[in-house]
Amino acid sequence: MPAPPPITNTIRRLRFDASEMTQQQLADAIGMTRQTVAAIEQNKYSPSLEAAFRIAEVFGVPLDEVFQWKTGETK
Amino acid sequence: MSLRERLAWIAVGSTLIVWGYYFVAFWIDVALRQLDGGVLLTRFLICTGIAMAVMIGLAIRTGVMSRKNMESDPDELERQIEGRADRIGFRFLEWLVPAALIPCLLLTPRIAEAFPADPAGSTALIFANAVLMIVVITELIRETVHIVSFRITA
Repeated sequence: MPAPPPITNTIRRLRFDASEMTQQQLADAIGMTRQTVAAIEQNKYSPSLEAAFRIAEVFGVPLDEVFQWKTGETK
Repeated sequence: MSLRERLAWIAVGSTLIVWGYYFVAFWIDVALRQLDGGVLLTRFLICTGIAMAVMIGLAIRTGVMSRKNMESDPDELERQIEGRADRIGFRFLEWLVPAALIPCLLLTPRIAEAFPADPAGSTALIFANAVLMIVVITELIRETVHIVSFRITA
């Protein structure tokens, strides 16, 4: 398994802000499994651009509010 | 644990038990110079039946218990894991086929010598089972890669 790129995300906080949405609810909304959402949330898996946009769409925020590139940490 | 990871565990468990028994019994027969095509075919059919029944039964039970549609498409992470498992499995297959069949070919005269009652039949049985063993090992490797990949991302 290749090391994930230096990307962080705020999915956990966004879920909390969205009436404590569960990982399963988010997974159902974007057509993924709960395990995949958990992997994304813990930075163990970087989602595709399409999935990233879907997640941002669910929370109604721009993409860069969900995912951030850790500056200075290029691989 | 996702449905697909559970299915991978079921596949590894049932393959190890059923086909492990089959190949241990087969190689014991070879060592004892007691190869019997009829007995072997019966054992093969029984093992195939048991493996299919166990895998299908447990997979359906797992699917029903987790209330997931067994035919739902894998998501992108699952597809990535599937692709990695296929690549690694195929790479092993590429190596295992010559690694097993070249020694078999070189040992053909010895095999025929060891089974004077039916040299051609015994050689064919050993070749066929060597190929079957390669297929089973490749499948085990594929499913193990699934499990390891799922565990890494869990």
